[in-house]
Amino acid sequence: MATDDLTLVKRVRSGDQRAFKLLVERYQRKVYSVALGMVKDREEAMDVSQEAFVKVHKYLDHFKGDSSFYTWLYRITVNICIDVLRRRAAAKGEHVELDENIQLDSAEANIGALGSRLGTNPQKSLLRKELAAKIEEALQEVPEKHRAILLLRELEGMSYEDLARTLEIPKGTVMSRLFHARAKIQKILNKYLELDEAKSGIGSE
Amino acid sequence: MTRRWMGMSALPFIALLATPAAAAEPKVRVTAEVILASNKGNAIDPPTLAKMKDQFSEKGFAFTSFRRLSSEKLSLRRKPVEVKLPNRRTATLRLDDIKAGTATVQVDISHLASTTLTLGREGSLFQHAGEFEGGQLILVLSPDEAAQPRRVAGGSRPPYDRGSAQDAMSLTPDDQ
Amino acid sequence: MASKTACEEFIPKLSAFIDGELSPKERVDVERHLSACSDCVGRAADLRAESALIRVGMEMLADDVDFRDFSQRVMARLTPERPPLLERWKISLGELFTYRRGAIASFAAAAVAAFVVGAVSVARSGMPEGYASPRMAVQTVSTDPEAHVAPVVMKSEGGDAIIWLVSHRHGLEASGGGRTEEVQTEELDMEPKPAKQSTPAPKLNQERPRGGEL
Repeated sequence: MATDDLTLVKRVRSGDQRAFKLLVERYQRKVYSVALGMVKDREEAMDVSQEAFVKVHKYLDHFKGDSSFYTWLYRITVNICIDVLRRRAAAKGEHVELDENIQLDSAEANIGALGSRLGTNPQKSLLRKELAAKIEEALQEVPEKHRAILLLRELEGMSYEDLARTLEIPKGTVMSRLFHARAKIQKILNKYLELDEAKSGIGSE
Repeated sequence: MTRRWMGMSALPFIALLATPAAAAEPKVRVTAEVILASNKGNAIDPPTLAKMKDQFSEKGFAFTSFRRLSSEKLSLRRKPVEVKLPNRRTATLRLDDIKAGTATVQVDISHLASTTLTLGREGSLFQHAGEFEGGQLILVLSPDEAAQPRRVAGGSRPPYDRGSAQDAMSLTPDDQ
Repeated sequence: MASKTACEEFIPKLSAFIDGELSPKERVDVERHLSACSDCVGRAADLRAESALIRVGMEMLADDVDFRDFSQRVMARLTPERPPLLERWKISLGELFTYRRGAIASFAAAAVAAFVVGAVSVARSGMPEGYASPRMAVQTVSTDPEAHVAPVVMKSEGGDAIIWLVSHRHGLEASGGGRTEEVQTEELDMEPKPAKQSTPAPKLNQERPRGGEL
């Protein structure tokens, strides 16, 4: 019998700290996963995800309850991640934004290869772990905003409407951004796949 | 209670010695308020207690209601003054001493706690004094009004571009 | 080549299609196209696979992490000053009693000089008597052992101090270890629970979050 988020928020506001603990436990894994996808470093992701909850608690009075608690939580999480990434890049003297435009043709090289290779319902088996690591790397190769939208969509199953609210972008942008993000990741994955296939000599079965 | 008075036996001598030199026995003026903080309703009464609510919520307390039950101006002397609290406890206040112009005051909440503090022109003491009617009683000890700073320039910012001397120091410099 | 143009029109929609976020009309159009275009069927499959891979992959990485202390660490970060203060006061409580007795005796001894000095300085500054210091400062706090409470001193920037009395169940203790529930109470709770033994349960909040279940 799960208590919904808004009820828990109300309880926290009236001083019930255990309600806050419940909220934390409810979202800790997902928030961590999003953070990990964004910043890659595990310790940093752990710090970021805790910080997100601390901030949520601090600004709880400002949460109006007109959006859902979780879009607000994720917005904070993503913002902290972007902050971390920017500081990291600034420290290295790097340019943060990567190439926006992608040649769609080049993504076409192996239509259906990914689908047939993985099937549409990959299991968490040993074989996939290598691919999971590749996914993490692939995510690092796309701009932060693409990373964020992909992670929120895939890890939280966020609707386009919630994505629009969390990322504070119009719904039309959600659709095109996801499309572009996925196309990029696919290109990168195909590259890995081809490499793998070349090495092991396995066909696209 | 008795043991605290044990060391006081020397005092009468001092009073004798001091009388010719000082004008009168030392005393210090404070304002003592009894506040009931609770989660029953949202009353902030009087509205000036809104600041107290903010301070408490900053420290993690989530009381929604602050009501002032009483307010008195007291002159604290060596001889203790009692403030009766509605929860049948008594707050006993007395002046320990004034050393280099700074008063040391002791606040006892019967069967609960005892606090010693040195007074200053700024800063109030919010002493938890037990429960009452579903809320918490807080004894607030504040400096006498005459002591509170008018913020005369002499600190970091000269008041030349501000309306009054008071504003000069009360705003945080530059951005907030 | 007509199909290629058609594909170009539909490819961008495939992403929203697999997410189920197309309007009913658009969805029908896409489905119709898919029934005639194996390439796009392949593309949709790729998208689904990629989508699932991101999810499963990231979940796997999170699997390696132990979240058992996560919430506790978050709670600890909510009020960083509190635990150390509470511990400090608990430890020094025993000392406070002795200190205070000694202090009174020394007050009495030093009183003579202080009186004269005090009287002179007050006369000079024009400050109300006793307020030579710019800020109030708490010196000692001690509690009645029978009350089974420990003081928590909280200071704010404006020079104010809040002295809150937190109840113990088993009397005064120097360290916080061992009694998980008590420690949790102090760490987790923003407002302390009222004294558990003596008085009938007064309510600090609307909810009484005992026992953890909500």
